[in-house]
Amino acid sequence: MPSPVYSISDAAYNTIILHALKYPTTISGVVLGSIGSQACAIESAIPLIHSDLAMFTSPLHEVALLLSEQKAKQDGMHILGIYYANAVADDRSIGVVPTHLANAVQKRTGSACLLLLNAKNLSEDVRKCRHAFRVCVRDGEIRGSWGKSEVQHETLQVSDRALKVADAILGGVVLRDQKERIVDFEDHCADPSTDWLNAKLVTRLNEMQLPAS
Amino acid sequence: MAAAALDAQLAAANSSAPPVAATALSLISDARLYRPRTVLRLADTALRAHRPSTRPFWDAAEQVALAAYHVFDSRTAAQFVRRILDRFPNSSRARLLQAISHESQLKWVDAARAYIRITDADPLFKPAYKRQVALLKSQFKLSEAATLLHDYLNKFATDFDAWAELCALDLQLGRFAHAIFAANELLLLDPHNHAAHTVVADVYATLGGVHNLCLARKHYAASLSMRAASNLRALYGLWLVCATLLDGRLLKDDRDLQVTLRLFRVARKGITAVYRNPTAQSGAVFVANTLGMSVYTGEKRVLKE
Repeated sequence: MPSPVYSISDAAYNTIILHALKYPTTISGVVLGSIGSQACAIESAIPLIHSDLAMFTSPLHEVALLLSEQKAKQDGMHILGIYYANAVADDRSIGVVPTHLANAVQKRTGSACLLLLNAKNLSEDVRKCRHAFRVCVRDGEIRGSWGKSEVQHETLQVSDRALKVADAILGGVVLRDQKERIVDFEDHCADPSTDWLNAKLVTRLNEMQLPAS
Repeated sequence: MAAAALDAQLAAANSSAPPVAATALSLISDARLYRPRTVLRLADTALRAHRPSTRPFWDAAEQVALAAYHVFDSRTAAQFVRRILDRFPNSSRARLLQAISHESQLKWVDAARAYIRITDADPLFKPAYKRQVALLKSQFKLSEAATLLHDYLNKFATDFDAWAELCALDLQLGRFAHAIFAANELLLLDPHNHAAHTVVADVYATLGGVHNLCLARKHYAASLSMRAASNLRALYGLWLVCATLLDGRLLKDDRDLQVTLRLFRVARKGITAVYRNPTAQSGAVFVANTLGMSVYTGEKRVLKE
């Protein structure tokens, strides 16, 4: 059975970029969206963890997944999968943590996607940014390595606007203000006054007027 | 200081007043934040706040050089490193900055040689050993990095951050017994540190099994007894571990059951109180729904059994 085509919204794509920009360490998060028979639409990304100790232990991930599930239900969406970025830009391996996270999502929802961010493709070349994610998808009872279930890059559809916003972010043209910094679940646990769902930031990403190129 | 308040202060430091910019750089350094672009933006203004003969000037210059490395601005980094080396030609700190330039150009062998020269000349200079560990991690040599870090801790056993780093490396390598050892060293170094108890609890909770979950429960509770206000990690951890013990019917001893139930209620109440605070963000409603997911919202069921 062919894998569904995954598309990602502008806000979700750039939320992940911002999370990766903020922390030079390994990062993880969940992606939420809607499931169709032939296509899945990733509508939002929730950043979760950035520090090594939280990343390689399970409690914070477990709680974050439970809360994200409730958030998805509240918004009429599903958890579609997880995103992950290794600390070293060259490292394209899928280690223990993303495997466990993706397996946990697959066990609860039946299918999951794993988006592995390839930081080397985040550059001024927009064509490279389009392939910034390695997409791995698994359905049903299929077991085995996530790396072996990789789909072609083209099945993650990214809009041109998302790429232009990413370009502006990476170039330091927009979102330089400290108040607009992204917050993940780990930040929120350290300071509950911060919003790990980043509602204002997502609104800003959706309404952003790009400078004329 | 809360991160949001700190970020507000850093945003205000966009002014052209040198003392304000210098204070912002000190805040970033003291809180050990990763804000290289902010440091570079404030660099020129901040350096005008100090006289070039003073220590704060050169501390700030070192901070700017490191920030430049972080964003791969090799020109600014080289400029500052040259000035620092001219002023302090025999300093290990200055030579370290020069050695980091090899790393930033991905010249691993040259960097390794440079760090070895520094540690040979100055065996008590800790940052050079730490850079050697970071160098190995950059080359995906995690096992060698853990071994080197272990050797470093044999020399400098009171380095809290190094033990935390070793714990994380051992977890990543799947060496759980070593990770437990490293986590417990954090407690030995600072037994009244709530964060150390949370780390130990997280490791035990990850390992799983009744015995480890009970130990995790104990350390989360200890973390909360040291810091009750807004200690969400310990609250969520305690809630999760107690819910796992209760929902999975893993406890046979009645006293254990009562203690777990009491701590479960404490955690649930604590989390609810945090989100009842009007300054708390993000989803009091779905937090309440998540807390309600555990079977043991019905405590009567426990008491009857």
